[in-house]
Amino acid sequence: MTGFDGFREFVQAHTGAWSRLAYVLAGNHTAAEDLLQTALLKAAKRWGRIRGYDQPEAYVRRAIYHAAVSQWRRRGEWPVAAVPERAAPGDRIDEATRRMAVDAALARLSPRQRAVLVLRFYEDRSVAEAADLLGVTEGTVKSQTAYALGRLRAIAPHLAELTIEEVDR
Amino acid sequence: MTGLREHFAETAEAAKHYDVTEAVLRQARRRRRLGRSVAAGAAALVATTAAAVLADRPAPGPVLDTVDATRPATPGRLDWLPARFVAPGPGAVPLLPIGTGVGAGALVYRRLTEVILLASDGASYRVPGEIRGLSPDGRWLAYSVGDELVLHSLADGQIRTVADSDVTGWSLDSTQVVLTLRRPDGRTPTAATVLRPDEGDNRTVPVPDPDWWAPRGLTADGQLVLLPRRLFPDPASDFLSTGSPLPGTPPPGAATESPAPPAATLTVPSSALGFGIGFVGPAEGTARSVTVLADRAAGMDDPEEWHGGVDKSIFVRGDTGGLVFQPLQRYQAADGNDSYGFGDLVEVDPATGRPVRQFRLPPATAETAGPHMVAIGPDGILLADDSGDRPTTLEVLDPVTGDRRAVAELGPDLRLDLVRGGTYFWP
Repeated sequence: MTGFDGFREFVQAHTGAWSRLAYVLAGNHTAAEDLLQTALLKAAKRWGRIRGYDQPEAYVRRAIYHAAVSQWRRRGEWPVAAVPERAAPGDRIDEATRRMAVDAALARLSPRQRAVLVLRFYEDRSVAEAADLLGVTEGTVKSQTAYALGRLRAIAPHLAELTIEEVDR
Repeated sequence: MTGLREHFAETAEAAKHYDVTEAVLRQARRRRRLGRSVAAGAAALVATTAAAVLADRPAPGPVLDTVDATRPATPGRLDWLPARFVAPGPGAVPLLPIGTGVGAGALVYRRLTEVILLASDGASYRVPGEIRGLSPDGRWLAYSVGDELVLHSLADGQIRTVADSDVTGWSLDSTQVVLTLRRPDGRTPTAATVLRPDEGDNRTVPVPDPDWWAPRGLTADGQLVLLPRRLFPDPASDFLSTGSPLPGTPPPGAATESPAPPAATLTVPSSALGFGIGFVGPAEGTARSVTVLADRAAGMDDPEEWHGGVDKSIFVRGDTGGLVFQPLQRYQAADGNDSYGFGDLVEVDPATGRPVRQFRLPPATAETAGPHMVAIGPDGILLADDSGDRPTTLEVLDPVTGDRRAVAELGPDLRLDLVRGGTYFWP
């Protein structure tokens, strides 16, 4: 017994999903890897306890979100992408430019706002689930979602199809 | 399916398989060996072990002066910061003029992609580049345009341009600015440039072990301050490691922009135990370092993360000469999970690295990470709180009494970039 028995197998079974989540949250590979490592180190230190959980992978998932919010609080630790000039609503832009614009717009959001959007629109979590995962109130999730979408619309008007109904779901 | 859902799904597909398992297990085993109380035990361990390694290592000091700054902030104002200001409408902010003075600057804020200087008289001006810094006296605004850094005198509108550089600190009297070149090859700069923007005089200060140490600001007596780079590899399981070159480090002399660094060895302790501060005398070129130990009494009690945030910002108190930093601090969020907010401020003696003073701040909560230090000036320690759902507030902390005064509040769509004495640079 090393105290980490089963940890390696546990991680390898879920690394794919966690990598994708970390990358969506972080926006670049270096930061994503750093994020996953931070979360897994926390899990490793508590492995003796969390290995008995019904869903130990949920602990890591939550740790990824908390690490993302916490690390992004350190100003400038992760580079923020340059924001292109604002596109006019009628402008025609190609797909690559659109992706860059959305990436840049997402990079301008606060860590909590980005995490909320990832929970709502990548993981498809409800307001209640997102609030529970982030440890904030449902009102905070709603307000942060609405504010973040507003900023995205301002910077990237082609995302206007995002509707307020989805915010309140 | 919305545009954002599609975007996130496409982004996820581009993720790699981040195989960090072995690295995590190595770290976890090492930390287990060090034990949960590594921070508390560090002092004793260093006293017996490091003394042989570092002759100038200070003995841990039991006395820490605590300044209680947890009381609610009261309304106040600073004579250089407009009591009230209204951001002009989008598109209505005039461009910062060249050749014409606008008076001292107070702060720089951002509205979406617009970067705006707020002058002390309440006027706003659009900054024509990427913001890099504002001197402690508000005279010099630094921003980059293309491949140049512009130092813009707000007093008379005159500008001085140098190669594109990061601004990593100012002298207390605003006469000198510390620059580090942004190298096109992306490598870490091997030297800092201490420039007097008024006269244009500059001095190149080589950095020992530049892959380990990054220039920050200047001490009260003009020494260049160095801090360990945040993302350097953990120095394995060594208790103390010297700043030897890392594997893959460019060979000496490759694309350097400086003379040879001083023949000195700066010491960085393992991040679980603390961090180091380096100093280089600009005139004589000698270098030294001190070790700042994780000190539970000073609120640095998280062996994994306590040092976080330190290497980004460290400021000099003009009245004491002390160096002030703010570690992150772990707290329990509403759901019972660990989270991190801004911890109390810690002032260390630059001669010994010993914490001498702690400024206790309101603790982080589930809703806000708490106020964080953005600069130190003649009025006190400037704090900003922009982590919650409320508008960003700017406070000044009296380092003697611990009184905090709320001196400015930004509108809901505005974000504070920096204030007087602040800098903005890559890690």
